[in-house]
Amino acid sequence: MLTEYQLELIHREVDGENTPEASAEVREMVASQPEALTLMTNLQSLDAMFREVPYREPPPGAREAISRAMSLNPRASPRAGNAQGTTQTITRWAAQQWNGVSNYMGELMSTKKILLGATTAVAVIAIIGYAIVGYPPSGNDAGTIGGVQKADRYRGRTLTEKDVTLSNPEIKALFQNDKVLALVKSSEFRAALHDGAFHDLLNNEAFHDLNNNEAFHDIMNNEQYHDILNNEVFHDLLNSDAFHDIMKEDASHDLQNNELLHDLQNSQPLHDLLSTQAGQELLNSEAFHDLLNNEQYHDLLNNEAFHDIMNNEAFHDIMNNEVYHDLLNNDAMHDLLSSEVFHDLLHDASLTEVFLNEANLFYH
Amino acid sequence: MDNATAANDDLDRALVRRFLDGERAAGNELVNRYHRSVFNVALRMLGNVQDAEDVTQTVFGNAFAALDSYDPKYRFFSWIYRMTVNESLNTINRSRKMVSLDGSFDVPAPDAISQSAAEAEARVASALLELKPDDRAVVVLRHFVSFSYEEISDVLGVPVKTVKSRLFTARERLRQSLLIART
Repeated sequence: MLTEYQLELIHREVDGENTPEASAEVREMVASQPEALTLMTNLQSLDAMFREVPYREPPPGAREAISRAMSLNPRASPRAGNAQGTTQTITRWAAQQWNGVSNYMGELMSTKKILLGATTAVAVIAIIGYAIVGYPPSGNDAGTIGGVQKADRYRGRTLTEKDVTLSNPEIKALFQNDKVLALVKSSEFRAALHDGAFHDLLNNEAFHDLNNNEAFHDIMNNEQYHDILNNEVFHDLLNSDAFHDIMKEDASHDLQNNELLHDLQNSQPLHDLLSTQAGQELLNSEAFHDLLNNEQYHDLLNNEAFHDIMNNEAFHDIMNNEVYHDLLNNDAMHDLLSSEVFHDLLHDASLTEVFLNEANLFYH
Repeated sequence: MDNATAANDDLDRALVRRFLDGERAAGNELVNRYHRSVFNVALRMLGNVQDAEDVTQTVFGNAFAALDSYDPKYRFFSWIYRMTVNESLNTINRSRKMVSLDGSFDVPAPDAISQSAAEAEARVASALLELKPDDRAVVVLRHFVSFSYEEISDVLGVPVKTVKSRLFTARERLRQSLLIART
């Protein structure tokens, strides 16, 4: 039976880690102990097997994709040739997500069950931030400011050049906005940016179906919907402590599994959630009450486009989608949404205006 | 540390500095130097080409995004391989499919390699996937990128003693599955 010391000597010998003296000791051991010889021979065979395994070449284009994305890093190329196009494309994409975010918010409020979709809304809000720097929507000028584009299978739908408005001066302002930059530089944002749950959602079929859905587009172009987006009360709610606390409640995640939104009032998960302290605080919060009494909010509730999206299959699909739930349960997402820089960003009126202008240009 | 290793480290640091100063070509050179080996480490950790490609891209994305926080007193290669291993472990944790129940390796062999080499690769890869991910990381770094115990310790951020313990344990399992069980 070999001792621990002898075992280590033999392993070290195979790895070339022994001193000349230790190597001599191993040679003696192998010559005198059959068990040592067997082990030594086995380890050498194993080593030989590993050496037989060929070094694989990465898939074609992988290195170029990394270099291309890296070249868009502002540190390496502060004003790369296609930077403007990239910025505008990303902004366009961000505008799209911004509308999506608020759409979800509207859905929540329409049923006066803000708790139902609090996590949903917040999750999608985070996508705005991600879209600003992290999601490459087009082929040639796809890239990121703070990160790198994913492999082909992670690419979303392609926006064409005509989708990009080159003349909008607000785009430049967007990327000079200190709140956007603060967000991009924050550790929370970076953590979320590189989290797989984000990529999964953005490349999810149900998510794309929703984005391509007519009812979804109708609500994005809806005046009442835009009013609510620009409403201070709405912003107060998004930034309230109670609202952020609610998304941390496990029970709220269960709500996302409820297929029949209009039956939620009677659902056990909702009752569970309401019984939590965070749920109670949100219900009693001034921001929530203000919103319920807000005229624009009531207009939105009565809007036909809004009802369409509420009854839309794609919308329900994404609500019940597994990758979407992964995102909701993601720690990096929670950290990002709770971060100060994200709150600052949400409060930035000029940023909202840019997003909305972009969205209008895109959809009209 | 030998002269060649020290020179490599110096070159890495210089490339990082030049990249941060705005020289794009320096970033490309860093990608050229590490892209292939990062991909292979990820491949052996995950047993899946597509996931390895994703990890590779994520690692370089993380690296370039955080390059200004890189401390040049540490070795660049330790930094990037540590990210590779961590990102691979994250991928494994996120998705159980990385280690299939039967430990199968789903990487098709390229035409360029012989049938026996392809078989050897499949055998080794499947055995690797049966190891615990932490143990697998040590074996991959030792046998696929030929790191010393000290270098593995740097990359993984664990003591050399832990490296040896994991490596010896993993090898005993591999010895059982690849050699003894087959005789």
